[in-house]
Amino acid sequence: MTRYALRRLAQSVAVLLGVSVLVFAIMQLVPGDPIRAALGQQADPETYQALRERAGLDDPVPVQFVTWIGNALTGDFGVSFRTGETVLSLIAERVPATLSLALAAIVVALLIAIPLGTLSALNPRKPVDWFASLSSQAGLSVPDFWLGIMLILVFAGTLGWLPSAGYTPLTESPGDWLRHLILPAITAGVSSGAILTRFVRSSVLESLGQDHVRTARAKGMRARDVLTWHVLRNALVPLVTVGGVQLAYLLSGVVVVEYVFAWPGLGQLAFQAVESRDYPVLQGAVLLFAVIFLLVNLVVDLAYARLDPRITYRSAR
Amino acid sequence: MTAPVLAVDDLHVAFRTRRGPARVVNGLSFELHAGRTLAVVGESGSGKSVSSLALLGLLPGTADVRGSAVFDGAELIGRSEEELRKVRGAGIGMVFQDPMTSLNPVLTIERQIGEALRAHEKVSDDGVRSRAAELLTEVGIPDAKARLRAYPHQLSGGMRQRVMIAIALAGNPRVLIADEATTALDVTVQAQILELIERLQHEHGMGVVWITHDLGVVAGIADHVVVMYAGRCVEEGAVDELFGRPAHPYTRGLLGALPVVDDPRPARERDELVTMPGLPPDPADLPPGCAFHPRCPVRADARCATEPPPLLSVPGSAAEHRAATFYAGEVAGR
Repeated sequence: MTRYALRRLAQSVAVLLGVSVLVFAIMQLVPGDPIRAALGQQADPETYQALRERAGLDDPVPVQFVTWIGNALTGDFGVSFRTGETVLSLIAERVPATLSLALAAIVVALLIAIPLGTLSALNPRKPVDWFASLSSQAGLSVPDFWLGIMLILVFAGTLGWLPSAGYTPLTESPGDWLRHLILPAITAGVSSGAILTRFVRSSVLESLGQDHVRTARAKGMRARDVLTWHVLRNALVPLVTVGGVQLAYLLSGVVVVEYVFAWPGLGQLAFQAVESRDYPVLQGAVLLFAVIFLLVNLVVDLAYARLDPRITYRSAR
Repeated sequence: MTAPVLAVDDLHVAFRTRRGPARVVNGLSFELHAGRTLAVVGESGSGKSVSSLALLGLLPGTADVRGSAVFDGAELIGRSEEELRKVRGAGIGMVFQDPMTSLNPVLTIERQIGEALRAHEKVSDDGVRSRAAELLTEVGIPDAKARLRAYPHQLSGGMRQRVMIAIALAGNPRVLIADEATTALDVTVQAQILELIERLQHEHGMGVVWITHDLGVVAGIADHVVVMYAGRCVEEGAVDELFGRPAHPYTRGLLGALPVVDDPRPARERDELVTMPGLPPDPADLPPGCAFHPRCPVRADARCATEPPPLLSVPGSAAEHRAATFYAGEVAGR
């Protein structure tokens, strides 16, 4: 198990190197001059030239890459062209907001998907099933920005129960943090919930038909225990994979939702970096997203072995 | 004779399908006495397994079950889920065909036996552990304590089936239904499992229902045999009588399809293996009259095609040897 984890980590490093080459190459291909974008058209040529040199933009591309990757290894991802702050600090200050939103959204998604998917699998082709399939279709079709705006209109506008936008750190005021979190978490969680609902339905349906479920009933177990320990417990194994992908997606910032709710997360940071051609920030953000995906996948694979004893990981020789 | 521990009378099971009701069991009756073994024989699709699942209410919601099944003096058909739950495991235990899929792959053996123990009474964790180990020892699994922590995939097929039997025994049932319990196993393991169940039957005084398509198994262990065709009992009787004087053309066909290993004649003089032409009927479209008549090699006259033959005593046999054919005397006399 430990050897497997180490081997996977080594693989992840290789993947990251590949990703960083790709990211760097794409940045070179993007048209537009970052320094021009940062300074505006009126800047005097000396300042412009000085900044270009300081950013190393006049060096040959491979040199720029090696410099960047070398610095990145020491935790130095450069300095934002736009604000002059270090990329690391920019990212670090966004992480709590993104973490809050992603975790809350996946909770919302699971709270929708597990009960709804299970109910619909237990009552196939009955009204509950129709309702579940219709609402998951709706959840998938409704654009995030529209749902966000509607929620703001109803719960922040008409009812006035919740704030319409903004973020309060958990450490500052847990109550405010929660109040600000609810609407964006629902907005981001609904589409993941819709995807997961269908997945839970098919997974539970498959699990229900297994012979060991019949054995469990033949033992005289209560229906609820059979459902928990023989149906849901086994349906959980594949759900972890899909849920993990959804979590990774939410962690890498839900740009639209963050935009609608003025949520200072990573998605927003990346979006602003694109707008202003803030290469160092964008590179750092994309690299971070790659790290998140790799880590979540690793955790998912390790969780698999915990959930299903038939899976053992051995290092290939 | 004492009252039977399980008495099934005129059991009907139909599944609602888009093509109309699929009538899988059509008036099955049998009695099982404590300590005795009843074999229910038939091809796949003849309604053997469905009947046993119907007794315990384990069929899906699309099944309509009618008739009567009296276990230990109480009617099972039409009882509430909770009442049936109390019978499952504790009154009637079941062992299924494929021990690989019938055990949950992600739970330990201890957990799965423990569930059967806990389903009917409160047991402490320590109580579960020691009782589960006892059960494993009883079904012949060595080093029971260590096996408790194992998962099903870590055991061989025969071991897994022993675990299934341990689970079925956990509730101390009065009746054990073994549904093709040896079919998925190697022949040598089959013999061990047969022996094991026979031993347990003696020790616990259980009535055993063997559901199988394997006549070899039946000959070895059964006291009484019920032959099923298209959801109906076509012939029943004591095992010797049924094997010695089969009175229904279908039973005859089944026995003819069995190779005789110790046939003294030289190979070229032996009878060829008989195969029965045709297929069992579609339960959603049963033929009128005798369900077997389209395949019947003996005779298929106008009466067979219109009138279902009743299950009557076979002339010249003991009273409990009965067959559902108009030609019982002729077939048995051959």
